[in-house]
Amino acid sequence: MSTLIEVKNLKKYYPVLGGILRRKVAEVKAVDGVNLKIMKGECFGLVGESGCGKTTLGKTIIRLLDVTKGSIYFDVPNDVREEIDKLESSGQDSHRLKELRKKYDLATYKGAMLRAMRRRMQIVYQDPTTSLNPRMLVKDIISEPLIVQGLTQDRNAKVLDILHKVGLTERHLYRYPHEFSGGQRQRIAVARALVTSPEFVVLDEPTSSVDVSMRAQLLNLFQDLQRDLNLTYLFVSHDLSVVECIAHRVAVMYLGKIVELAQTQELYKNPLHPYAQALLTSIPVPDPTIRKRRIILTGEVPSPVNPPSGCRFHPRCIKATEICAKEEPELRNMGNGHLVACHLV
Amino acid sequence: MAEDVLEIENLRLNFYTYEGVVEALDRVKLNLKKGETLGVVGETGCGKSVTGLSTLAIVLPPGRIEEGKVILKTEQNPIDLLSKNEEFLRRIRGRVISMIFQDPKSALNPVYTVGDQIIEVYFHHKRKELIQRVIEQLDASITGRKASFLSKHYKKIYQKMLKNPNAFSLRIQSKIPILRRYKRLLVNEAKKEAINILRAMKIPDPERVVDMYPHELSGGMAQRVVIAMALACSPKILVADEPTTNLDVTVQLQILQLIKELKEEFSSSVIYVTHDMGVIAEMCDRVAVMYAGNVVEIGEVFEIFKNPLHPYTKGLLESIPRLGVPFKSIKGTVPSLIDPPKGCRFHNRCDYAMDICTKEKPNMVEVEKQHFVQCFLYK
Repeated sequence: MSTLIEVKNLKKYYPVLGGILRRKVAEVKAVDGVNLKIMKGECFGLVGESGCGKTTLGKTIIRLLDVTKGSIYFDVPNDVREEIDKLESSGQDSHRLKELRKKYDLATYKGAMLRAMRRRMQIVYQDPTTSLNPRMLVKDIISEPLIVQGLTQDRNAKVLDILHKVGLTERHLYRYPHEFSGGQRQRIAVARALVTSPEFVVLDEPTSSVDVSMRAQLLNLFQDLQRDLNLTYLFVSHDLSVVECIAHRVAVMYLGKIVELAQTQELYKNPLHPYAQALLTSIPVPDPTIRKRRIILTGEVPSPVNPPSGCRFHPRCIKATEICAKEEPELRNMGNGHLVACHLV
Repeated sequence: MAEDVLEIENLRLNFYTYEGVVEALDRVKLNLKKGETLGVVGETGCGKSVTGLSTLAIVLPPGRIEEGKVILKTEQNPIDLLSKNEEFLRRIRGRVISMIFQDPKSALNPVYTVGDQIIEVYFHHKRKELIQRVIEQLDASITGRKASFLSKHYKKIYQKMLKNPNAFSLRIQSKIPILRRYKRLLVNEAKKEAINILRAMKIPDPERVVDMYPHELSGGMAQRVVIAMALACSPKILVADEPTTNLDVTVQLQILQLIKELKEEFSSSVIYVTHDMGVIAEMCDRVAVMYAGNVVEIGEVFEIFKNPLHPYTKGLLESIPRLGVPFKSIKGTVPSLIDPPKGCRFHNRCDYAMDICTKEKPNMVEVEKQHFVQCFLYK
């Protein structure tokens, strides 16, 4: 499998404004140095507690948010990537590096170039009631991306085609979002995202606002669409049991950093980072006969404005030692693509 | 088997909206035993929360209770809450039956501090005790010669408050600035109680939290405050309406653990309303499955998970994502309750529907011991 997206040392800080002059007084480090690769045709899961930067990472990768620092390579040929790497590590020929990055690094794109890229990457938001304009007809909602992208040829045919793919019919074209149930609304949002036939879709907690029975239908839809349209997903969710079933690889985030990344089954069977262990044992199991040993985390996620020194998890970690408070652990490979950022593993 | 503490009998509740009459609850029958946790589970819009609210005899407009009883079994004699007036109910709510609401951010008033909102509960239910304690304190300070010159005056006021809380002079004094400062003693006393209950909720640094506003708290903290308010007077019955729905799994686990411990400590019974089967398995002793305003199945938690009888319960359990199994779902959606399906309300989504299902409403039958189901398949 080839790499579709490579994110290198990505940082996204939000300014905290204060004082009379509204100057920047601090920074919320929502995403703080993330490295990851997403393969073509893969469903990449991203889990973590609320406020750990999952959504920000997803939005930054598709450039809905500006990048503070770092690079994003979207479908860049291998030889170019190697050249950029070589230039970066050697620190020479900065002119050539600049040129290459301007051409290939999504983080530097602007204007028309960025708009052209937007066709290839889309997002489905968490809550369809707020992400669909209540005053637009379904037809207009779905065809809007085509108009923005200038793909006006066969517009109606394209809209109908995608509508059928997400399990709706012509009957639904001339209706408003409020006439649909939660599950159907999310289908409209999916249709809108897929109408420009993108390669990469960010699913930002797409099932958190629907019922259990509806959730299963939506998940089936996502899997079918992925197979039929050859999509790559970034599945952001805090519902760990859903991620287990749909994702191929999973990354666990904590306070703007990835603390563990592995194949789904490997991660769920054998979590190495203490945070991942705590997170996974806290899923309620729908079986009353199982009473598993729980790691109950105390306290809450610290503020990302002023994250703890060293390992960011150490104040809540039951295994923390002296080194954890001083040095920040690197993401290390434990073999078989299982990456962990912990001193103790 | 433990005796019942609460019984809901044939409760029928309608909402009168512009679109028509929504038959939200259709002869709901439930009972809550002493010291148990009863889970109420179902999809959105099947009447879980309405059932929860009606145990406190709260009916939100435009709702109206058509028939049925909510019977609270006390030591002396059973009381039908629905026939009582507001005055009586206000004494019950919060002290005997109490509720944890779903969304802590909207359950808390944004313009009052956390402390103010908890104190309110004490003022309602424990006013006399608090006044007594203030008087004792004043006595101690008077005999210990540490009293300010106002102590004796305050003591008189508080004694009057005990005897005749609606006295004319008190009503006047409580409105005049400076003169109404006597109230501070009472507020301080109640605040001490509030700090104690916050500490019992395992909130770090309760002395600071008590003076904070709800927006300063995280979701988990705010939920703890709401639980603190519900448990302030150690109620016999606690109704928890999806208390962990908007929370993270790690915080959810903390809250579930907390409710479990507090239930033991106050030896209360809990009605736990949720749509998460995982939480049900974790928390409950018995489960009632609701669908479109009916209780369709009720039984011990082990029974429900091992041997679900009603097709809807089976569907709910199958729609939980499991590894290696394709995602299953119940076909269709919850019907509109304005014109609910005739007969069994589930028949148009049911794989086992028979002729009779479209015509008649099934009765509750006891298939096994303590395992009831409302379905024609079991007759």
